[in-house]
Amino acid sequence: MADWDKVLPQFLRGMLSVLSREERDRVEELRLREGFPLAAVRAGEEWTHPAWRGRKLTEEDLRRVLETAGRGSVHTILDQLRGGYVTAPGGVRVGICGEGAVQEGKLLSFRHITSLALRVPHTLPGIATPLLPRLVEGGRLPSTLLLSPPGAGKTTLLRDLIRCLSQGEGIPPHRVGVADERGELGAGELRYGLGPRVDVLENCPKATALLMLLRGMAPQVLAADEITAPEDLRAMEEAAGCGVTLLATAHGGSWEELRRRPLYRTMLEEGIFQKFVFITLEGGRRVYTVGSREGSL
Amino acid sequence: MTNLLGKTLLFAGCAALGLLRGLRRHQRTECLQGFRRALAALGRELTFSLRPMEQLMAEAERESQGGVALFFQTCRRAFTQGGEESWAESWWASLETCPLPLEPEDVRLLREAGDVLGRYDGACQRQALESLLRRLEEQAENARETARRLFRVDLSLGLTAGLFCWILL
Repeated sequence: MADWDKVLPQFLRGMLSVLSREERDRVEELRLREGFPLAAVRAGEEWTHPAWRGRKLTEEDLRRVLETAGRGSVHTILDQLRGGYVTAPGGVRVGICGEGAVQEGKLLSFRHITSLALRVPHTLPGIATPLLPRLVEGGRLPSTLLLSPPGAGKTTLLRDLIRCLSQGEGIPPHRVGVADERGELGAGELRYGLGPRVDVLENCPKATALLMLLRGMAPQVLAADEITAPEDLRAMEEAAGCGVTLLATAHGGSWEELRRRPLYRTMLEEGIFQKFVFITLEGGRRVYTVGSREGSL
Repeated sequence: MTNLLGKTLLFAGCAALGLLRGLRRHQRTECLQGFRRALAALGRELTFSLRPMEQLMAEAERESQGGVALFFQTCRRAFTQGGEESWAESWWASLETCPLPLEPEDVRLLREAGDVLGRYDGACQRQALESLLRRLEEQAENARETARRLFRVDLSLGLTAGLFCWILL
């Protein structure tokens, strides 16, 4: 994703201009904290360029980033904002921390913003290709769940799996419906990178989007990022019952972690997913481990 | 002969000045009505589709004419190409830079839209726009009444001034 920095305000683009093109492409996240210099995350580690060390960020800087990310239209991002993040055009997700303004137990907005985490979407065409022979059975992809701790590359792998399915790379072409609640999979120009057989329903609650895609677009594969709520799981169950292959991601580093969480325990017991891909970072490299639903790795 | 030509030109110039002054009052009414229509459409879209301000401004630009269309175009470009400005800053800067046939009190009223557009949830923006639209309607009505009342006065003053110059020379 070469031009992800176009969605940033000028002051931040200016700061990033000290990085070479290659260095910018290796940035996974930007961390902005009020009172501290800008930090970039590369291979999971935070790092501050010497040129950034003299400039402490202010709350106004952070607000500028949010304003630009929301295209100056709070009404379009309010639900996201209340969920603690905003997705900028192009799929850059901005996580927000600060002091919440709460009314009757619900977060209305943020009174102060103290930290932002900008997650840069990466399109790495081809990363799923070596994995496909280990997943495909009889020319068809079984329902697959991608698992890793945050920031290990689940969404990047999911995006490339969708591309392979849509373009028929290593597997016969499939029609893929994508429930992109946060706009990280196929938002804006990212959609073109997913190939010709992809229908993206963006900025719509995942469970609703999955059912809408199922009813309206007759997908052969349904994909969704980050299954976190019971309603998402119910929608997945319904889709699985209709003979649709499911592709999804979830936070989790091991079988034990999955089984400890009630939502995923139910999912494992019901056998919605037949294949599991665990992503781990080893020495700055991503390692993919494929397992079946019986729990064997 | 030269004297007669000079007198005629001076008379015609004074009359034209009076006429232009009267026409400017009509343009002000048209401009206020143009803003009222554009902001009303923008408010309706906010209710229906909650589209980003950039798209709403582009639509307002397409649906408007003359100075009002130029204003929305300037505002949208200032925001999308600037990279630093908020909608409020772009809106206010455009009000200052675009040649609109408005009086200072009209500009003050329109500045209020910059305070709310894109900054709050859809309902708050609509509420603020509705209040602004009511006042814009009143302002446009006053401007129309003033234009109607003073058009003849402006024209007469121009003609009188021309006649005065004619006699004086």
